[in-house]
Amino acid sequence: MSTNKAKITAEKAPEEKTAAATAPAEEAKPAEEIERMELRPAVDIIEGEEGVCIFFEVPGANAKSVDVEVNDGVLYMSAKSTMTRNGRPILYKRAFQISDAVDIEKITAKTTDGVLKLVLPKSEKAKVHKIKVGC
Amino acid sequence: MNMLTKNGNTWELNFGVPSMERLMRRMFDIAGVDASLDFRTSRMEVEVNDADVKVKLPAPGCTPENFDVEVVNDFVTVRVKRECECADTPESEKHYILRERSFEEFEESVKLPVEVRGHEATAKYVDGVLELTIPREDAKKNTKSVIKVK
Repeated sequence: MSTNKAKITAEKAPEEKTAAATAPAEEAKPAEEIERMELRPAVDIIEGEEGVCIFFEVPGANAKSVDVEVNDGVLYMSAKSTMTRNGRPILYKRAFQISDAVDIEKITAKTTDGVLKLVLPKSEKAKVHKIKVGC
Repeated sequence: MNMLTKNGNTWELNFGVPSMERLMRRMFDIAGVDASLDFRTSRMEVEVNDADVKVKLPAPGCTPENFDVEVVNDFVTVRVKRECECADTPESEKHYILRERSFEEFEESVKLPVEVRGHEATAKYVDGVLELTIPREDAKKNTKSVIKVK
C-alpha cells in the first residue's frame, strides 16, 4: 500500500486596515523549554458540493505556528498559541480521518483572526455529476 | 474574597466554592485528557506587571468592531458579538458534519487585583486574541524602599 503524505502550509489572510488590526503583534516569548498544554480546538465541518471546509478555533496562533499534515489518510493539525493555561503555553492538536474522495494535493489552509480554515476539495471522480434525462 | 490567584506571572479567576465545573476541569487536567471542554468559565488571562496590567481574552473569528470593552474602576468587562465566517450562505443551506463552535454573544468580566487608570487603557486584536493594556494607578509612585539592616 502506498503511503500518502502531504504537508499543507497555511497562508495568513490579508489584514484589514484598521487601527486595531495594524497594531504590531508582540513577539511571543520562546516557550519551547516549557511543556505545552495540549488542547483540542473547537471545530466546524461544513460539506459543500465542491468539498469540505474545516474551521479550527486556534486563538493566539497564526500561519507561522500552524502545522497541517496528511499522512495515511489522516489529517493532523497542530497550532502553537501565545495563550497560556495554568501557566503553560497552549498547543492545539486535532486529527481527522479523511475520505479517499478528498484530493489531498489540493488542500488549502488559511488563518484569519485565530481561525484556521482548511478547504478539502473533492476529487473529480467523487464529485456528483448530474445527467440530464432527455424525453 | 479574592477572586484571583496568581499562577507564575499570570492571575487566574478563583471562585471561592470549588464548583463541580472546577472539579471536573481539575480531574481532566490531572488525567492529561483534553481540558479544553467548554465549561463556560472565564478564559480571561490577567498578567500584572510593574507598569501595567494586561488582560487577554481568546475570541477567534472576530473583528475589532465586535468588541465592547468597559473599564470601571478595577473591573473590566468585555462583550463580544460575532458572526459565522460564512454568513453569506444561509444557515439552512449549510450541511454541517460537525458543529462545535458557537457564534452567540458572550460577556466576560474580571476584577483586577490592582488599581488601574482605565481611561488610558489600550486594546488590540491579534490572531483571535483581544489584549488590553491598562496602566497601573500606582505605577508612577516609587513604592520600593531599601531598608538597611543594622
